[in-house]
Amino acid sequence: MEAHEFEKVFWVLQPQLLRYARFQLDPAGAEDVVAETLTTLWVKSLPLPATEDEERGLRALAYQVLGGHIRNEYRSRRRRRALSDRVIAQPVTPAGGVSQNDVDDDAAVHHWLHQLSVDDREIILLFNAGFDTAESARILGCSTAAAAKRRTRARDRLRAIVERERGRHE
Amino acid sequence: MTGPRHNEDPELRGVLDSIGMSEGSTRGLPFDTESSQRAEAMLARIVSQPRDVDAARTGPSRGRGNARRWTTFSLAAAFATCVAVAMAALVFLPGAGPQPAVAQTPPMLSFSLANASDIQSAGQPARDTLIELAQRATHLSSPKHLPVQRVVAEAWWTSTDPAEGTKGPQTVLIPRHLEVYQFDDGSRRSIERRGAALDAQGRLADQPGSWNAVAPKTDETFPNDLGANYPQSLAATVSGLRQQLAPKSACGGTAGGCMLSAVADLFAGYVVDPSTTARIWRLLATEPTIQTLGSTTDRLGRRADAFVADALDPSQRILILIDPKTGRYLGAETVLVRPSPDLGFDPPAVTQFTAIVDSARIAVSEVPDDSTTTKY
Repeated sequence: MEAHEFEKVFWVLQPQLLRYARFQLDPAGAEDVVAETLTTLWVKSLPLPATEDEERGLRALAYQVLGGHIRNEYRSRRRRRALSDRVIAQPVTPAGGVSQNDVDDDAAVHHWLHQLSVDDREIILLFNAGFDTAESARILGCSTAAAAKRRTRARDRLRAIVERERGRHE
Repeated sequence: MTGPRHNEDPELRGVLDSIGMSEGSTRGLPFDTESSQRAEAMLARIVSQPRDVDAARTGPSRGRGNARRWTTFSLAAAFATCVAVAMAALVFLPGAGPQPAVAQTPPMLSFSLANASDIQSAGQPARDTLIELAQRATHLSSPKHLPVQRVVAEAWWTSTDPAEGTKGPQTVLIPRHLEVYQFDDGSRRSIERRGAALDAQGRLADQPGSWNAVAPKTDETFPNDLGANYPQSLAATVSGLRQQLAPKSACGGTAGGCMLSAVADLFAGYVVDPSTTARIWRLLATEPTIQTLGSTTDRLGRRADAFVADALDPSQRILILIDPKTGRYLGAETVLVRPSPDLGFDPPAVTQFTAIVDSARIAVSEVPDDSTTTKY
């Protein structure tokens, strides 16, 4: 990809990756890992996707790279704990031009997702990002069957959390 | 760039809708003035970076199934019903290669065409050997016309606790025994048994006498999205097969590693018929980054031809093993070839290996009682 081609890809991928990362890291950390991810794609001199399948492939590759960078952020227990504290302490703050509805929606989703483990959250975010099981498996570096299993487990756990909490409030 | 395809699992979709998580996935964070400026600055920083001509080897870290526990999966070797002590003997039999710096990983295999200590760059052209193996695979016996596909594998699980304070990462090996049952309706049952962790010298400790005597650690039945007939759905042409198993844009310049990973994944869960096996070997023969290390003896003491390629994770290479007489798939290994701060041992070191013990179609009556399986 030439610079002008990469720029097109950047403006499509950057907000998607940032949204994905923000569900797992604090805003500053998310921006850092997205920058690292897109830098990795840039230096790899990948071809500009010419077909829909190639576009999906590049997108999956970007999420795979991003997943690696996010996991690096969790490298030590101590760091993970600190990050977790930062994430929990970090409200989803509205920025200028961002609708309050978007912020409220994200805050609600944060509330539910952060009751899940990192693994469960990751597979659900990939599902919601539109990746099928085989693509999620490639991104996560596990078998397709393992990805399917992780997804069904995560689904059941999330449903149980939602039902339990909503049951308490009824 | 296009949007996502509609994905499966309406149940999960329903749960996510109920918490306000809209499908969409390609929707990113909306831009405001400040974030646009930050994004522009990010773009400027990125495109000012020099490009690495050796970019393929500086690619991303391959995702891990369970990053929090910093686990890697190491697969061990032994027959399904043999005693665990015998398993240990078999596992260490081939270990004429260099020992890793610490004892938490199995010894490297020895190869006829490569020095295992040079595994990072070792390998010779594999095309002719793979074409010959493809020819042999066409003569494998066809699977019986029975409804359930069963694959049995032996494994070690390498579990690494991350570094904390001045204490480095701690790794132990846990033997595993895996049974996979792929049913006609698409569901898959996975039964896993585990032995005790090996000690610091890599010896087995307090092992059960037989896997049959060990209660399953997990027994789960879940939908397999690829379905029961995935191997039969693979493309009939080598070029089509390449697109399915190693789409160019998704492999980050490591087509060979992508293919070998796909092969390991496929054979770990399905009974693959001879013609498909042969077609896959012919595909591998077309990929120059897949190279041969020559012959070896696998973890079960079987003669094997070894083929290697760089994994997407630049710190690792992936090997597959094929029976030289029949062209049958035997297993896979992943070798750490560059230092990894997460694992606590030095390269070269085996971080993962699978040994397929059995792969056959069976009758429903041969499937273990499912009253204890957890169904998803």
